[in-house]
Amino acid sequence: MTHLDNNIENRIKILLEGLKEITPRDTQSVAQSRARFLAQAELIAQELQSKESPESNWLKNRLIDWMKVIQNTNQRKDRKPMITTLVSFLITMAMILGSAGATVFAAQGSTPDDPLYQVKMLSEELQLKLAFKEQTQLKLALKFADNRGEEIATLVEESQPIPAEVQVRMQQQNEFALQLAAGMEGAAMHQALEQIRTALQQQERMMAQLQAAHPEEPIMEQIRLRIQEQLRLVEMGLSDPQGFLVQIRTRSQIRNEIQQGIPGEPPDPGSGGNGNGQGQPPAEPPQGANGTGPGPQGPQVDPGSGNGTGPGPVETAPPPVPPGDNGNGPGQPPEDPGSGNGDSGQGQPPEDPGSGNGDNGQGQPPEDPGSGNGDNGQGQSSSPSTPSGSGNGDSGDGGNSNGNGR
Amino acid sequence: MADNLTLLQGARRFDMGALAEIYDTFSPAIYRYAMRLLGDTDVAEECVAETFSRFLMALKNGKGPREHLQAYLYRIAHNWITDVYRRKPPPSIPLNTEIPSESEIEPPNLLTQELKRQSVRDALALLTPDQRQVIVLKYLEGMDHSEIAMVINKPVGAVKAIQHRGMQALRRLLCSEEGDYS
Repeated sequence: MTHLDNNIENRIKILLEGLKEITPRDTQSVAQSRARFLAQAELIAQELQSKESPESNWLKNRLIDWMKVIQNTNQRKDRKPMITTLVSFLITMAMILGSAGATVFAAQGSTPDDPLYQVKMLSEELQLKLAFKEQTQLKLALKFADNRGEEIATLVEESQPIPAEVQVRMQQQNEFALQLAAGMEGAAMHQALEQIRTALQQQERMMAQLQAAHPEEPIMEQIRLRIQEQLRLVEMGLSDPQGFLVQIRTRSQIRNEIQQGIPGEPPDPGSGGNGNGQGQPPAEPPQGANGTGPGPQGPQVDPGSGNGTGPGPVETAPPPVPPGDNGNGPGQPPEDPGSGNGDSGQGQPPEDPGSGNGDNGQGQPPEDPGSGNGDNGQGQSSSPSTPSGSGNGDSGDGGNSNGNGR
Repeated sequence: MADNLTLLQGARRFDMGALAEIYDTFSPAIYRYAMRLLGDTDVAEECVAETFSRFLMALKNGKGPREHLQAYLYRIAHNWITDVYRRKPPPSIPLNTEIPSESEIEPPNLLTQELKRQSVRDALALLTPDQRQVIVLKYLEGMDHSEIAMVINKPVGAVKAIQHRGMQALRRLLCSEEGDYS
């Protein structure tokens, strides 16, 4: 570097030195700037603390632990068999659960004649049990009842016999929905009843269409009558909630009594048989217990034949046992009035003589005395003043109910 | 350095005491550095605020300096000032100011002094960022070559070369005729 260069550099340095003199920093600005810096630091610290909370760290730590395990096992060959076992177990479980899920899924479209139908029933029961909210249970019950309706429609379209189990389940599921509604209060009950009414009306329409398309299927009429009866209960609930509650309670009590009184057993030896069993002649006219025994004025030849409808004071709901347990043998003795061999016999009180409902039976009021519908039966009363059991046989397991009162 | 490391460890834990001490220790130097280059108190304060804000964000993201805190802060400030230079239009006045004689360096009034300072700032603004940073750190901040090397993340030899080229550029910018100094 020459002397000239040094000289110039010195001069430049002197000029640069001039920049060293600066305006003193304003203390207020310093304080503000410092406060902003610390506030920002505080915010970031809080943000980091919230991110590092135990909840957020849990997943991260688990992931890290798994990564370490995987890393260690990759490094240590002696652990390989254990990992292989673990992986095999996990894969097996996944396959089992996956195949079970696939089975349940496949079963959803099954009809009663399919082997997977029981899986479908189990899955529905499980869904109902797992539903904690009443509203959810209500929706599920109505949905499942609709499913039964569709199954019936499918079977009718395919000219397949309709198992009694399907009808019973349909009625039970509607009945369950009614009970749920009865357990609610005020507006909730009203809303639930509206839902049930809509569902029942839809079911009734479907059955009416099926009946029109297949008039040869007498069962459609019975199913419709059941639905209509439940619709009447709904209407009662909407107009007279107290009366509705009494009705539901009574039906529930009777159902319980039946379940307790005849736990899983038919009330007569004819269970599992046809609904054409012979009933005992009723000792007293009002107790044409099982069905369609004729009223005291009726013929005594074959009294009580048929099932289901006795003149009991209230309807007897279908017991939850399989239909086969509701077989219909001979009619019940008078000691078991109204209980029936019918799937859900329903007798009318003496004040409404002549009307009686069996499982599917429905007696007529005095204006139409003696006429009633059994499962496939009809009873007639010879006298409007006396109750005549209307023949209402429910199908026994594998049997047909064709009880005919006379 | 040990103190700085301790402060840095505290800062990484977002210890408010450590962060406050870092601000108190280094913000005056950053302000001076910005003020000398920019000549505006408000912009210099903005430079300080932005430098320390970027420092916090780096800490938040797990980055930031491991040991040379001061060099790191200067680097942030330098980058910020470079951005300011880029946003600003370059000085339009041709820098043909003759370098004054030593007697003239003692100005009779403050206005003249300020005009001269602004001329030097304009000349610095026309240097490359590296040249400007090295010149300022060397002649205004008084750092030695090794310290500057840490700030600009380059070897000492490169620092010296940059310094030399920077001085040559200033000479061209500030001296219209080299013959004046003969």
